Amino acid sequence: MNPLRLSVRLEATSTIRDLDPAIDVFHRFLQQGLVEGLILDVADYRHVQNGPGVLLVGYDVDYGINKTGLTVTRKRSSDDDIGTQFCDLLRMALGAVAAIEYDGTLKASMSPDHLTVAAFDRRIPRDELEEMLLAGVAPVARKLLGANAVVRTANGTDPRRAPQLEVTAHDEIGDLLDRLGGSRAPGQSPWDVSVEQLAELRASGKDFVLLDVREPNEYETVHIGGKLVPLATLPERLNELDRGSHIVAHCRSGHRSAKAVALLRESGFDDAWSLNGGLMNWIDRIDPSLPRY
Amino acid sequence: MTSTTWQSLLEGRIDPAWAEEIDAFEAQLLLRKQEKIEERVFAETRLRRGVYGQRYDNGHRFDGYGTRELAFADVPKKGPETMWDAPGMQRIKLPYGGLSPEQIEVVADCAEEYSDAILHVTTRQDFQLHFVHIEDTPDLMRRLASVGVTTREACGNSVRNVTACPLAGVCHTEAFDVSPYAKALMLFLLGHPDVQDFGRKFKPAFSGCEHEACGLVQMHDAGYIARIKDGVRGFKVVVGGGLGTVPFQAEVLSEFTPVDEFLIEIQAIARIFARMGEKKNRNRARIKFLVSNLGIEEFRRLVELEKKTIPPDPRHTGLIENLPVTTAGPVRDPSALNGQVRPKGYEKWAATNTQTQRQDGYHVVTVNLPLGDLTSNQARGLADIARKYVGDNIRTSVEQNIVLRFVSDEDLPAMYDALTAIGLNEPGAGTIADITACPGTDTCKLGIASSRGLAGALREYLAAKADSTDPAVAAMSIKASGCFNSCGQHHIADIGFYGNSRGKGGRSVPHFQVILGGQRRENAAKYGLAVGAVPSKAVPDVIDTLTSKYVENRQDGESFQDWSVRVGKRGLRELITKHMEIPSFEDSPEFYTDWADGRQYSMGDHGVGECAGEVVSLFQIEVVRAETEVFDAQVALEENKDPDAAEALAYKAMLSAARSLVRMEYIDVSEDPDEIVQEWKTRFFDTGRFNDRFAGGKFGQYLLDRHADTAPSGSLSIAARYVEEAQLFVEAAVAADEKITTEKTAIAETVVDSSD
Repeated sequence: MNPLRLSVRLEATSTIRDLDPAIDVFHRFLQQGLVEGLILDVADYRHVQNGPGVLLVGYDVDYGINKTGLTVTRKRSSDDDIGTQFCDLLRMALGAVAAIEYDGTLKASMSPDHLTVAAFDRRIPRDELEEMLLAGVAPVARKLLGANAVVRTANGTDPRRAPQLEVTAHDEIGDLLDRLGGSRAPGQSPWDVSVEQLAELRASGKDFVLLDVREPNEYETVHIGGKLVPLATLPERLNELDRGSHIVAHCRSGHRSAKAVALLRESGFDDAWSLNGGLMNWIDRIDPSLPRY
Repeated sequence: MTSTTWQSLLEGRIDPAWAEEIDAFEAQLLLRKQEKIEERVFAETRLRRGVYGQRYDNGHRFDGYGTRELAFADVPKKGPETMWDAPGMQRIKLPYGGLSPEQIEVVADCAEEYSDAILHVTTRQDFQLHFVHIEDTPDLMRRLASVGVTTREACGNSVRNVTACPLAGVCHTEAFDVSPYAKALMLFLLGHPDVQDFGRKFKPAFSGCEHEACGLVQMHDAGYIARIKDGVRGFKVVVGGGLGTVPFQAEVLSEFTPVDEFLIEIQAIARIFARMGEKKNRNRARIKFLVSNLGIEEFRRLVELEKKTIPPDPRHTGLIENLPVTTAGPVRDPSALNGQVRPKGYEKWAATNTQTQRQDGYHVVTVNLPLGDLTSNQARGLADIARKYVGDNIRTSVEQNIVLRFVSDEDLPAMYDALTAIGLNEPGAGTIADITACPGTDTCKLGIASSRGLAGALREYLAAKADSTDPAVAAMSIKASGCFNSCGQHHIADIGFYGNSRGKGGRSVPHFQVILGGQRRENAAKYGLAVGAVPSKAVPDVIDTLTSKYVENRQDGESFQDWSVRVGKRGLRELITKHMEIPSFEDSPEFYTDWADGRQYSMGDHGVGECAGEVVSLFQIEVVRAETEVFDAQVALEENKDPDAAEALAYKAMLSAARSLVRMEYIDVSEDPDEIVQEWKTRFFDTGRFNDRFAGGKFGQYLLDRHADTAPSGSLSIAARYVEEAQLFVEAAVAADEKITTEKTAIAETVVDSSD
């Protein structure tokens, strides 16, 4: 029996002074699908001392950021073994950290050198659960964080507290998110380009195709001059595109263009890319004069 | 490894009847999932187990720019328009707010495993856990039941939590400790066959004394005030109080009901309410409407008759006979606080968070919970502190705090240190910075503005200047509700707020209606009245304006409430008028978002488009007249004590508001009430355009009812109700105009792929 809940926490390298921007950052994550999971809302617990801070609440996963770090909690029991779950959660946490860093408004720095893993399920006796956690996490942690990584049980002597492990890396660990396969957030794709990259590309005058995969009525509301090919019609309109050209696809927030690019890549378009965060992110960061919808 | 279930782990540790109920609920949950029972039936079933819906559970959410579909799995729904996988709220009943250390630990564990590791204390002494998955609720209930805590009838049309003064048993002025009786009433009514067929919820409350606020019995469906007559314990019993959209003061059913007769009496009340109470129209279904329609004399006569028809039940007296005199008792010997070292911050904390109790050598300590929240870890720490110092003497309070009683005086500094260690040492309990707020737009489906966001911002703002705050101002109370339903109890605060929405230039702006003149003393003897709506972001300034004017103008020791009565509605409104203006979006975009929410504000998460240009519509110009008339009606009521004038003005205000709407489509409508009502009814009421998203045609009905019968009542309390109704009607007209304007100007709503 796997525990009902598992969480991974990355400690902040220094105390986060101002959590206020986290609310807007999390709302943007929701709008643009920038973290993994079915995300539902933002809950503000900044008023609670030693509390969860600001929570991005999902159906299956919660992201919490307080002054001392970021916690990702898987809320529904999974059939995957604990090691796999640990990898998943670490990937989600690192994906969120990368998204926070890219957003840039929340000044926070988190390192995977020091992390904690906790399991919550009081149907399983505490020592047994702790043993399960150790057996599941330790080998994977050494594989990911280097042979010298130290995994030890933590969380003091209070038997009511959930069992917890502390994992400390002592080797150079490189780009862990990359090694974990990159973020699998719905608005992220392995072929993402940033809005800054697109702006640069446009300014360079280089030849490329900007593909707008939204619906015609959305296009009428606002557009940035892309070729309009709604996602649903893309499969039968592939012949309108050249397999050799450099393509950047965009939609409103990045979900649909990620799908479009996956389809294009499958069909032999090897230079197709998806605009991360879509038009909303473009307006946020490049051209705020355009209307949002 | 085989899987272990909570059902097997807790076997034999749960009251068999409770265990059976939970098993039955779990079976129904599975049946609903297989679509073998109807979603409406299941919805009522789960509500009666305290399993409530939460915001966005219809699968739609406004993300600041448009309404998006949340990609919940396509499985049977758990209620009409309620997605199965949408997390919900679990309410946990705590009769009289009483808790043992073991109970709080189990709630903490459940919060950590099934919720977000936050325990939230409500304004009715309950706990609530948010974002709970319905599949987890049977186990959650089992774990609670194993320590004697139930969620049964925590929601739904049933008898809700029985509340009581948290000082019961240690209070200086009480007649006797009411807690054992509150518990007896709860046990008697829980699952009782006579309370299963109510048209609406029913909330009882107990108070040990008449003149304090603690029990707030005047605002409850049934209220009990302890009295001793000729050496016999009993209660003054009141019925038909309630806040809600239109607040009612309870009426006296009995000046003295001996304790061994109070259970049969409540059973008679319940039977009459079940039999005669309104069932179809939810908005008229609370017992306050029945009592008001019948008149208290007739209601009393019916209760007496009913008592005679109730079959004998040994529990009527059995539950009372062996009751302990009190549930309170110390675990430490009394002592004096002498030379102990006072930790840093202690004096400031002790000044607001401790009070003496009846028993010498002991203090009551209030643990100030910000917005009623504490974490699972804090709850465990609190359980440790309670075990060491006070045992079972833990109570939740309607101010959303936790109260520890029987703290031996010399333990106070050590307790302060222990609370500091778990981050629960915040001073200021019971001060202006200790704000009560319902969940509002954070999690409640009915929320219009962010009451918790407002409370969080005000807390920070007011606590920061606590040291320089005038003592009389520091002692004031602020309460906020997210909508016109009064879960935040805004009617009984010094300054109350309830959320509403106003439009400007096609955009919505979160607002709070300012309520002044309420009175908590005498068990909430007087309700405040609406003075005017201000933008949410202007509220801190409104508080500064009101409190500084009070400090400047008060006459010899006058309280804020007395001052606000003296200044009168008109004067109060003048004071806040300058804050009612909405600045333009270009100048102050922050007015167009709510507190602690990055999204552009939208009414009820319905898609709102953007539009250019600012237009003041004919409606906006004309509705001012209606607003002025409501205001004058309040003045007539408050200052001139003239119910007939107040009623006439209230009726006129509704007509003016209705006419303003009609004029948008039919400019030549006359001033004739019949024509106005007829035109308004056909165009706006019958078409549903006037309907409130949740209250439906409730507010529109107020005009129809008044128009059908305009005879003056001659009663100040009835007139007060009509004035309140007129206020709501005018607001509904403003909301209807906003909705219509938005629809006209909005960019056509875009339908987006569900995964986007």
